[in-house]
This record gives sequence, structure tokens and C-alpha cells, in this order.
Amino acid sequence: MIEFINVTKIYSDSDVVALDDVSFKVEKGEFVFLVGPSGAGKSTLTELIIREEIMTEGEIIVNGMELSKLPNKKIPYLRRNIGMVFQDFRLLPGRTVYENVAFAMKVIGASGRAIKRNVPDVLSMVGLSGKADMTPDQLSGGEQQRVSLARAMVNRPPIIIADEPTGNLDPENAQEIMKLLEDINGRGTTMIVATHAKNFVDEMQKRVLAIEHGKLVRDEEKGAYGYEA
Amino acid sequence: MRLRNFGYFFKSGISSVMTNWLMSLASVSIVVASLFILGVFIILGVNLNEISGQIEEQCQINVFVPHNATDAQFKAVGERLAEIEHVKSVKYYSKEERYNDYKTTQYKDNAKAIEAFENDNPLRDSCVLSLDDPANAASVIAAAGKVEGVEEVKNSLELINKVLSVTGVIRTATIWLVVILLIIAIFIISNTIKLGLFARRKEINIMKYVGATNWFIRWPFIIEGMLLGLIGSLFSATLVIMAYEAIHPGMVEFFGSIRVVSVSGVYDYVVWWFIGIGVLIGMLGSYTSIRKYLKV
Repeated sequence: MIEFINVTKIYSDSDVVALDDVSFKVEKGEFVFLVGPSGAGKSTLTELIIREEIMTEGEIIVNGMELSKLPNKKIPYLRRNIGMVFQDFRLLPGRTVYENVAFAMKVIGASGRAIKRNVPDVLSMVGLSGKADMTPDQLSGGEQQRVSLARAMVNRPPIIIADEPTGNLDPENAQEIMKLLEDINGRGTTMIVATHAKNFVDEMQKRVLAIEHGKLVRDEEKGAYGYEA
Repeated sequence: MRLRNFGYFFKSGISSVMTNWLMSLASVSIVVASLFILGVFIILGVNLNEISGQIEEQCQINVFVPHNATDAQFKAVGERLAEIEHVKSVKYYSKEERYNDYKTTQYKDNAKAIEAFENDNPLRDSCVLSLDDPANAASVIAAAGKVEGVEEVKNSLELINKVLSVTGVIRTATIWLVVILLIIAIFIISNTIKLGLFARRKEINIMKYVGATNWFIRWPFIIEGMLLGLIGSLFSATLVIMAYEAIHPGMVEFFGSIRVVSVSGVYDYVVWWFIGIGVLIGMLGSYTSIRKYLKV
């Protein structure tokens, strides 16, 4: 589903080597934790997958698309395969929960009928059916993250990438979000979760990719966080 | 562009215009100002064209033979004149005809002259030349002057040239002024759009992450620019038409026998050109902003 082949990323403006000869493969339906110290290259890795950045060397294959050969015009279509969840939620403040989720369908040209069918579905999946008409500022952090998760999955992408999804949440809410990510993965969605949350990584026993100084230093099935929390 | 998306683009565009109403007002105003000046020029221009056209049509080259020339000599001169290149026709205008015409015009209030010339006509016979194209007047005048038996060549070419050169100067000056104003208009519209882009940067960011195409992101801003241009052009077209309607009767009276262009004669020019130019500069304004600030 996602394959990195000897990927190196050097930022041309600063000559910083953000990723150094990284290779790995994530199969369809896998759940992968991406760990490592801040600044190790986790964000660069996710940015490369969605072609926010382009690698300096190597090849990345996402859902069959070779990103080195992907014309800029096709980037939106690559991104329709990937749902993104961010630490800071990135919801539209003036709009309701329903509108925030529907927005993701509207901007890829979905029909009104499809929107009316899918949005309530995903809202109930994340447990927010009763709060569809509320705006983000009326919700708790955990609820806001669930909205952003609903938005990430409403177009049914085969891949979801969550960048520090629990970073802004209290333990209880964080637990719920991790549970949801695991549920969604259970339905077949490939899940990449970049995180510093040691307890979840240790407890959930998923595959762990560890990155340090731009290098892939560990790739373990049922791995542990491996750093001091 | 799918039809169901169009509704969304249009709604976003309108809401952007309303949200940034102050900058929208500035954009519309500058469009109105530039197009109004263009409108004044158009009215001036079409009228000068019309008037100079009428003078050109009346461009008569009068070729006089000496007072004492015989009818046969007069006829011969006419035949020679007809052979000059670009001369379409030659009309004989005898001194008797001229005298009869003068009785009701130049000599109307001069009974003495009418009486004195009745039996001793001091006027000359002349040939009136009409040309295939007024532009050839100069060469015809030169050639006519060299024809044997010709005493004098008179024409209204100088006046036409003066009118045309004034038109030319006004045209050039106005075009530059309008071009500068339109560039300013594009700049202001582009700044208005920039504010809209800035206000929506979060939304745009999310749109990019969920896979909206570049054109999907651009369209609302293009439409916003087009709307600003369109509103400006409709306002200015209305103003120009109203202004011309107001001064038209005065112009008709002032110019008398010379026709001026009717209000309906400028209507199509003004309305359609204005809408076209307005929408175009609106699009250009938003496109420059999108290219610069929207990295999609």
C-alpha cells in the first residue's frame, strides 16, 4: 500500500538531511506506529507520502502511484487515497460538525445525495451523531479530534495518516481516539500513526517504525516505543 | 467544471465579496472610474469619427478655371480632370449656377450685389471632383493644379486633417489613461482577492489535504474577481449612458446640421465592451493573486 525505496530527502534551502536512505513497506490493512524524537524526520515522512514535499532521491509508491512520476495536477487524486488527522484538529471554526465533515466530500465534487448518506454514517461511527449541529468551539478536544477523524474517513480512503492525534488530548480522550483508530483499521483501512504516546505504543503491540536523525533505526512487528516517555 | 460545483463556487465568491465589503467597494469604484473615463472617450471618439466622416464625405475639391474661359475650355478642363487617378466623377458647376445659388446664400442680404452681378457675373466656372477615397485628396489636388487651363484648386482637406489629428491625440491620451487606470484596477482587485485568500487560508489548507483539485480551489476566487469587475462595469455603463442621455440634446442643438451619434448608437459599445473589460480585469486581478499567494 505504501512503499519507500531508498528515500532521501534533503531540504534544498537549508541542506538539512531530513530522511536518509529510508526503505520500508506497509501492506494493505496494517497498523503502523511511527516513533522517534522530535525533529527526527517523522513529519517529513508523512509530508512525502501526501506529496506536500518531494523526495530528493529514491521512490515512494502509494496505492500503486509512483510519486516521482506524479504530475502536480494529479496530487489531489493521490490525496483522495489518504485521510489526514492532525494534532491541532484543523476544523473550520464557523461551521457545524456536520458541515466540517460534509466539506471534505463537497470539495472533491461529491453529490448532495452521497453527502447526506455518508456524513451521518461516519458521525455515528465516531459517536457524534447527537452533536452534528454544534460548532467546534462547543466541543471538547476529544470530540474535535473525532470530528477530524470523521472528516478523514468520510471519503473512505484506503489509508489514514494521523500525525500526533493524541498530542493535545487528556489520557481519557486520547484512549478513545486510539480505540477509534484501531477500529477503523479493523475495517481494512491502512493506518499510519506518528506519535510520542509511549503508553499506547507499548500497550497496543503494533508494528513500530523508529526514525532517528533521518534514518530508519528500527522496524519491529509488535514493537515497543523504545524511548523514555 | 461540474454544474453542482458551480453553485458552491458562486456562493463562496459572493460571500467573499460581502465579507470584504470595504475592499470590494474600492475595487468596484476603481473599475467604475476607469470605465467611466473610457466611456467618455468612446462617446467623444464615435462622435468625432461620425463628424469627421461627414466632413470627409463633403470633401469637395473645387477646381476653378479663369473668369474669361469659354464653355469649350471649361469642358476640356473637366475632361482632363476626369482622367486624374482616384477621381470618381466630375461635376460641372457653371458661374450661372453659382450665381443662382449665391443669390439665396452669400448675397441674400446684399441686394446691390445681386443687381450688379445680374448682367456682369464676376464668378468663375468650376469643376467639383469627388474621389474614390478621401485619403487620396492630397495627390488629386496636386495633380489638378497642374492640369492645363486650371486657375485655382480649393479644398477642405486642411480642416479634416486638423479634426483627425485632434481625434488622434485625444485617442492616444485616453487609451493610455484608461490602460493605467485598468492596471490600477487589476492591482486593487488582486489585493481584494488576496484578503479573501488570507481569510480562507485554513479552509484552503484543508481543501488541499482532502484532495480538492487546484481549479476547485481557484474558482471561487476567480468568480469573486469576475463579480467585482461585472458590478463595476454595470455601474459605469449605467452612468455613461445616463450622462450621454443628459448631454445629448445639447449636443444636437450645438452641432445643428452635423449629425451626432444617438444614445442607442453608443449603447451596445458601452454595455458589452464594459462588461467584457470588467469581467476580464476581474479575472486577471484574481488570477495574479492566486498565482502569487495560492500555491496550488
